[in-house]
Amino acid sequence: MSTLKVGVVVFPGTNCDKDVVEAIESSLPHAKVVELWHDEVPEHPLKDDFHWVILPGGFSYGDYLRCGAMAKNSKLMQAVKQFAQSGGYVLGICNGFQILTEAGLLEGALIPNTSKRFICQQRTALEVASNASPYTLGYAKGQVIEMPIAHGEGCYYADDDTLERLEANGQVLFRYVDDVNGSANRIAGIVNKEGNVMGLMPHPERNLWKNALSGFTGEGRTLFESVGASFLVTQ
Amino acid sequence: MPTYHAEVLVATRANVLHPESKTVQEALHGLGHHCVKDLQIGKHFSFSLAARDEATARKVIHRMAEQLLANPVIEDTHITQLTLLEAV
Repeated sequence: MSTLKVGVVVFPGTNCDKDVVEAIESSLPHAKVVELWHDEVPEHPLKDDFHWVILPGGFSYGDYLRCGAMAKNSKLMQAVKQFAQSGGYVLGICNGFQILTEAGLLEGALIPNTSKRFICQQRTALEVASNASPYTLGYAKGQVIEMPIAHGEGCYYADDDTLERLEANGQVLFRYVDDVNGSANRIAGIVNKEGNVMGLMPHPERNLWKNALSGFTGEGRTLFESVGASFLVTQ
Repeated sequence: MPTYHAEVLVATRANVLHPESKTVQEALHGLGHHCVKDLQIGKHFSFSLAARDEATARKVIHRMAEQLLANPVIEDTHITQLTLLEAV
């Protein structure tokens, strides 16, 4: 069986990298995960060594200036941009989503929550807006699932033309069921028009196992399994 | 090369919600200053730079804003001051 090679990017201040590594290792037995330090320039283009690069959550560079603003200019991000432009899968979770919008790999911006507060919730209901993506093919369209959220700047903003285009192209993959942070069209996760770069604010890697006591549903695992399944089909 | 002193203001565009600005404006209203409208908090950058002439300095500052200092999707950049410090 082919090996799905996954790179997990670590910036100073990233704090969800180990969770993402565990998510990959526990849900995709045919995957090999390597952590990539932000300051190291890879010897080869990333596409030679990886199928999928993940930017985990956290507070890269202490969120200095704006969330993701410093990270987008890091050495490794230049390689990630090339990787994305050559069709490689890139997923940004939470701070990773902020970095992808700052880097121009995804449209729009993540601005402070309208509640003016950092929101931390274990169970946030999301609707699968589209399952026509390698990231969501394991879900049913319209399915309501749960993922934890934890962010201060998670309000998705884009101008009206951009929103209209995202909706018309089916680029919105997840929507909050309730308005939790003021996001336009209750957008929680989007994909670029080519379909290989995805960003989402909620944390799928924090909901991997169903547990009646804690209330976790295990529904985040499906996202990782979806990419794994899509990879096997394309090999 | 001449040296300039620059003051640059980066602020969230007026039609994009900035909760911090809104909160401060509401607090001013709470203090009785109902005269206040359209309050915008911004980031202020103050630095000196070497440039061939003023036009070049402005061009470089806008490029820096585009690359790092501002997010063009939600913010506007204003050069509020550009003064010549040393001519040579």
